[in-house]
Amino acid sequence: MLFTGATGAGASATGQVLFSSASFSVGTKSFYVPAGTLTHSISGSGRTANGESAVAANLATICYGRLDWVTLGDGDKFLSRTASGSLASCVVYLTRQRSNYTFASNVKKGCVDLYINSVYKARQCHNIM
Amino acid sequence: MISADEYRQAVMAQRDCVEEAGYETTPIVAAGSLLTFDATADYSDAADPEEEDRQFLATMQECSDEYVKFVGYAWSSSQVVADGPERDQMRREMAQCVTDAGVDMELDVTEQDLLPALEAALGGASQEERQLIQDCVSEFGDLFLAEPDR
Repeated sequence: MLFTGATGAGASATGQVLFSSASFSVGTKSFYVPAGTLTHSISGSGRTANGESAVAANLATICYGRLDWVTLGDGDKFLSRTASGSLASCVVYLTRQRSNYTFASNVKKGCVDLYINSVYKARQCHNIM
Repeated sequence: MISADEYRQAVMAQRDCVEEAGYETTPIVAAGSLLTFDATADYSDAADPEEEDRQFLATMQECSDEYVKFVGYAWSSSQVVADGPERDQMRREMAQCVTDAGVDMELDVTEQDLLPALEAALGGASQEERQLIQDCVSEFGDLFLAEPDR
C-alpha cells in the first residue's frame, strides 16, 4: 500500500497542519480569518487514489480561501498544481475532494495547499510510493 | 444586488481568462449556490517549475481579482441562509444525507453542533463514506456560507 503519512504506511493516511490567521481588505471591506487547521486525507491502492479530500476549518469563518492539489517528484521537484477557481466567498468549512485519481509514475508526494486571498498559508503532503 | 446570471457570467469570464493564459480548465460545477472549476498547470517538463508556478499563481490571482473577487463575494453573501425554518430544514436534510452515506448523524442537530457533528462523522467514516459525506457538504454548501464577522 502506497500512501504514507506521519504515522506510517497504510491503506489510507490523514495528516493535519495548522495555518495562521490572515487579515486583508477587499475594496473598503476588511476581513479577518482566524488561525485553524488544514486536514488532508488520501486512500487507495497502487498509484490510484480512491479518494482524496482536504478540509480547512477554524472556529469562525474562512474568507477567500482556496485549496490546490499539488504533486511533487524526486527532491520535491514541483510537478503540477490543480487550483480551484477562487470561490470569493466566506465559509465556515472549506472543503475539496476528488476520487479515482491516478498519480503519474514520477510523483513522490501528493499535497494540498491552502491559500487565503491568494496568499499561501499551509501545505500538507502524503508520500506516494 | 448580483443576479445568478451575472455571477455565472463572472465565473465564466474568470475561467476564460485562465484558459487564455494557456492553462487547462474543467467545466464549471456548482457547490450549493457557488460555482467553481479546476485549473491545472503541469510542470513535468519545465526548466524552472518554481517560476512557472509563480506565473500560474499570478494568473489565478489576476483572473480572480478582475472577474470574481467582488461579484463572487456579493453573490455568496446574498446566498447565506438565515436562521429560521429554511435553514433548520436544510440542516436536517444534510444530516439525513450524511446518515444515508452510512454514518449516523443526529437529524435534529443544532446549528452549534453542526460542524462538530460533521467532523465526528468524517472522523469515523471509511474513505468511501467520507467521499459521500463530502458530496453532502457540496450539495448543502449554502449551509456553510457565512458573513465574515460570523
